[in-house]
Parts: sequence; C-alpha cells; structure tokens
Amino acid sequence: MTKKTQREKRRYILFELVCEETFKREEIVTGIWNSCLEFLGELGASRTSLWVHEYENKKGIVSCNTRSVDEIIMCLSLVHEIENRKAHIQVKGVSGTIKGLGRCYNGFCR
Amino acid sequence: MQRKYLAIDLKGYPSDLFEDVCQVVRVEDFSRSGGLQGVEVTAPFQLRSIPKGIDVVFARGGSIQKNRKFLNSKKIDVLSRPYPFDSLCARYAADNRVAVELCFREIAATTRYVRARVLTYLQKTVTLAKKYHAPLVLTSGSTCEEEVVSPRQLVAFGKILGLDYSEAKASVYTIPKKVLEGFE
Repeated sequence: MTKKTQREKRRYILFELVCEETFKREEIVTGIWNSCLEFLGELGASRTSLWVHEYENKKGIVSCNTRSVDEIIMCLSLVHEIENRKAHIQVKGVSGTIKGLGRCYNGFCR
Repeated sequence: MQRKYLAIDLKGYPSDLFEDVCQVVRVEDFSRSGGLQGVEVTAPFQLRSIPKGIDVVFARGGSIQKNRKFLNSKKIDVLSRPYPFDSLCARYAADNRVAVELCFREIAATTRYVRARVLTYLQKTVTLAKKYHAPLVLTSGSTCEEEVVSPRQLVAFGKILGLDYSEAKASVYTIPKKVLEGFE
C-alpha cells in the first residue's frame, strides 16, 4: 500500500450537461478527454490524473489532482460538442470527497 | 475554497448564478429596457453618441493607438479585447480607472492556433495589469442560455491566465461592483 504522504490528493468536480439529447457515459468520457487533449496537450493532460467517475441523468463527476483543478474546469467549460452533437458542460461544484459533493449539491445523490 | 461565489457578470446572458448580469449591445442597436445595460463602442468617434444613463460603457480595442485613445477618453468604463496591450496602456488604465476585460468567450469561440495566440495575449495583458495595478474584470460574454458559465469557471479562467485565486475572485465580484459604482 502506498504511504499516505506519497498518495496524491484529489479533488472531485461535479458537472451538469446542458443539452437536449442524451449521451452514453462513453461518449461523455471521449468528449471530455478530447477537450483536455486539445487544450492541455498530451503532456499536460497526463499531469492532471483526470478520471471520469460516474455519469447519470446529465450529471457526472470527474476527479483530478489538486494542482490541476482549474485546468480541468477550463477543459470542461470548453466542451461544445460531443459526437458531433451540441452540448455544453456547466461546473456545479468542487469537493475533496464524493460524499461532500452529494451533501452540498443535493441534486446529486449516489 | 468557497462553495458559492458572489459574482457580477459585466457582459453576459441573465442567469441565477450571478447576482447581477449586464447585457451589452452595440451603441447603434441600443434601446432602453429593464436591468443592467451596457453599450459597446468600436471606434473613438462613437464616444460622442453614447446615450445617457448607461450603466457600463465598453470600448472594443484593436490597435495600440485605438486603445490609448479609448483609455484617455474618460468616457469608457471597460476596455474589451485589450490586446495589443503595452505598458503605457496599462498605466493609462490604472490612472484613469478603466477596467480591462478578460472575456471567456474569446477562448471558447476559437480553437487551436488562434486560441493559443489569444491566450498568449491575455496572459501578457494580465502580467502588465498586475504590474501597474490596472483593474481587471472577468466576463463570460455569453449570448444564450447554453453558453452561461458559472462564477467558479470564471475564477478558473482567471487562474489559467496567471491571476491568483484572490485576484480572480476580486475580478469576478469586487472590481465589477466598483465599475458599476464608478470607482467612488
């Protein structure tokens, strides 16, 4: 097991998709990763530890390390289309735990 | 970091996320209606035709000469699209209390090479504005409901451009409030 001090601290970002159509989780993941690769490049994206955790009912959670929260929020904001269909992402909040996101933004409960 | 941000969007589409949103139109298309209203001038001769009682006057920059003319006119509140921006412009902006706008839409509406160039210019603008203490405002520039960005996204945009967390927060609320009050 990794020592606590060596473990990377993470932040969880709650987002909401603003679109008329419905998307599968895989399509969302591709859209977010494409935006990150476009904005940050391959090296920059590799340094963010980006992970898309879950997505349902147009709401989802991504996580990243504490250094790159703002970069990931920018990448999410710059998503304009997913699979050639119009879609925008609005960031709802940032927290240190997934439980914290659910507590503060009660629209999202696990 | 706070959970909810107090914010004023000086150029955007009305939304619950912001305390106040100012809708900006071109000076030729202006017609009086409710809420905060602003006009944008694109050339120095249009400064004479600014209607009275406007909350915010924006001037769209373009060249160094144009930017300096706008910054010295004392009729404008905010210089939008400030690049090319040099040290003299920054000094004028600080002395005449004209805020420099950093608009999110300029990044969102461009891609690849153009986006990289715009980011470079904006980062340079931020460096100069910080050195000469020129006021900076972060705006969304949204024109429809889908384009609305949250205050947290604007703060992230400010941090990407080189502002500190506290400076980015001030550019979202404190400075826009001062602009609306006329820096009294």
